[in-house]
Amino acid sequence: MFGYRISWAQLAWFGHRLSGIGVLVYLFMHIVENATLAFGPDVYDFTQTLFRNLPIRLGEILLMAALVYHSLNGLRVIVMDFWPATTAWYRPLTYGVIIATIAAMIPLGLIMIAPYAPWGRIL
Amino acid sequence: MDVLLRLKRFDPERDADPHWEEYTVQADPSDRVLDLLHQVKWYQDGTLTFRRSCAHGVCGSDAMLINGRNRLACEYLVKDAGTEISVEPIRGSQVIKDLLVDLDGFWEKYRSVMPYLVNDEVPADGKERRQSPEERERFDDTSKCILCGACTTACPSFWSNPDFVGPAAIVNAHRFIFDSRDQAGEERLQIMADADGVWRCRTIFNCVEACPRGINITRAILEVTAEVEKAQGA
Repeated sequence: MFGYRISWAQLAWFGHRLSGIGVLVYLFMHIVENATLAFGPDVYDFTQTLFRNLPIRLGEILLMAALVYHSLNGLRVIVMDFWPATTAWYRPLTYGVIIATIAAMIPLGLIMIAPYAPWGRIL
Repeated sequence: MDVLLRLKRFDPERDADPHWEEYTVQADPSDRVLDLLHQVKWYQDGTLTFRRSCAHGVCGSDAMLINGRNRLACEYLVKDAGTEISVEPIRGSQVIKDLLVDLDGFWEKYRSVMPYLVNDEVPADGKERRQSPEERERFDDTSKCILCGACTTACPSFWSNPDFVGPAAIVNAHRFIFDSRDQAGEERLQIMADADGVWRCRTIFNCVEACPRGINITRAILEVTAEVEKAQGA
């Protein structure tokens, strides 16, 4: 892959793989996090405190971006799978997915970061 | 104008690994990259090896990785390529020498899809097999393929799995699967249904971007995939 000019469509595929792996890794972490409930409320409460800080919140925003992108791009691939004629517009469809992900992440990111931002109380 | 031509060269009898060599050549903006390669071979270094035949974008023998993308050297003009041009052999096949690669595997996959009309019946009028313009239109796009290999060797799925039959072979299967006169569709669909058949396509569109004939290859692959699913009763 290196040395071959990267097109947006190729980048979209790479991003799909990357976001898929990211969400899968989070899922495993989430299962471990919830499984601590089996060791009693104290252990669970302590684990939860580990997840309430700014770096983790930034990670959660990335996770949200990965979920939004993976879903939208997945829909793009499904649409092309069912209606092959739509591949004629693969470029605008790819740009559309990237723009929609950014557009969705602006309000979502602001809402998610609010508790840690100085202006957060007004939301 | 002067053009700096960077060529990835490899002589199996002398070199352990491929390496870059630079040549400065005089060119007009309307010259093709193939003209520059000719200049090097004819006037600077006769040992430069590459494949070309018709030199007019018809035979498809001079597909190369030019400025980071697969193109035909005989179709890519200096005015579009710029004054610094890099040329490498297409990827995924063994380099025989310089820009010349071994395409035996490519042809083997092409042959595997039975790229010829199969029909043993005598035509109704005893002379010809008629086809309506609409029936002909069904496979018009895939009939444009010149078998240059630019699509298959631009495909990341093929790079990671050389057993993948590849876009070019699927395009040529499409050409006959959707031909109303052909009778071997089922056989071809079985070949396409193989684990290394159509399923390896990840809709990355590198093939479409590389095709010098402008074929919507991904569409052809997805149409064949849909036929395979139909044949399997999915």
